[in-house]
Amino acid sequence: MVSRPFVSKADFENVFKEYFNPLVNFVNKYLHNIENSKEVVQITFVKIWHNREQIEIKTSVNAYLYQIAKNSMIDFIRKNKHNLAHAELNIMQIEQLSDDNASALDPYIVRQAIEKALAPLKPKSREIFELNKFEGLSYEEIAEYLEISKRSVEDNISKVLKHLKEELKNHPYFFD
Amino acid sequence: MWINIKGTSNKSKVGKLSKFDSILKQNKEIKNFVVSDVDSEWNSFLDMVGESTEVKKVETKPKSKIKSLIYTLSIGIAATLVLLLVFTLALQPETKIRESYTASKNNDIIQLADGSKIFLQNGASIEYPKVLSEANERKIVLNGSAKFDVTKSILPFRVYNNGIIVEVLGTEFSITQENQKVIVENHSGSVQILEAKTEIISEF
Repeated sequence: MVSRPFVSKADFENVFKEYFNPLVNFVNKYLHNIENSKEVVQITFVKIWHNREQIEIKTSVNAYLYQIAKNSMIDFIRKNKHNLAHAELNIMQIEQLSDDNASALDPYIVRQAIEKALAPLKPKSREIFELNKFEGLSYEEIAEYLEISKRSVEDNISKVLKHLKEELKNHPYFFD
Repeated sequence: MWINIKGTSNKSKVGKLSKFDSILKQNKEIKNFVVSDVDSEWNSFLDMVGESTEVKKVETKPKSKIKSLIYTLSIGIAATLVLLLVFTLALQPETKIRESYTASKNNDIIQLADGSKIFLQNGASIEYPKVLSEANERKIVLNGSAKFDVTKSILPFRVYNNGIIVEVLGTEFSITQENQKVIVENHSGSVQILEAKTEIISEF
């Protein structure tokens, strides 16, 4: 099946807004500089914009964006190699990524959904949850670090988990 | 038969939960997920491809003479109100429009009305405009070190620091103040450094 997701400006805008943050964070994994990463993603979309009427996607929007972003990243490092540390090594590392990886952006799309679902929660609950799930701290460590009881850490995490499961129950990435 | 059905539904429920947990585990790889404001990123994208946002014009045609009179009257009232507001703003002393702040920790963020961000180092003090509608420049008086993320605008962004003025339109840069030395580091875009007139320094 061939899709043409960029022809209308409204569709393009939706794709841009949905994928901007996942792409920036994916690129940042290699560039380690959020401003440069944002620039690369902007360039990625500018490239797509100029060809938006011709672009036909045979794989998925996900895979397509990944590929263009990967190439834009290499172009960006080449262009700025005098200002960037380990540019050649960085290029080699990125070139080793496969050209066709439909799920490379998945973790970032998932994370965006999690961040969005976490947004309305109390900052303290979010912090406790993030320390445990993303920073890998144990309940005891969190209790000690935040000077609260272990029981309160457990309560908070189970509350956040319950909320997340409710918020994300219709998200295709989480449940089939 | 019944037991069988119950059994399968339970099993699929457990399956669902474990997928959720494994997704969370995988996500540990992403330490810091940075969320940028996609609306403002979309606007800078439109600027880059030369597609600025269109302003919708709504034409109002008064239907009758009475309506037209009310219409003219309300415009008159609105204009008077606007004029009054302008006068009140103009008559207000500058100190009310400008704000001062001293950072008590590193990376203390001040955001201007146009979205520009200033990340202050501990102890840095700043004086900045609270409103920009009447301003002809974005004048920042800085004492100490700070990093700037400036929103593009036709209003020049000027930082007065220790005898120099750093002027930009929209870019990222940082100013580090060490005793009498001022280090300006540019991260993207371009900045211009001018020498400040003495009265500005004494104003500080």
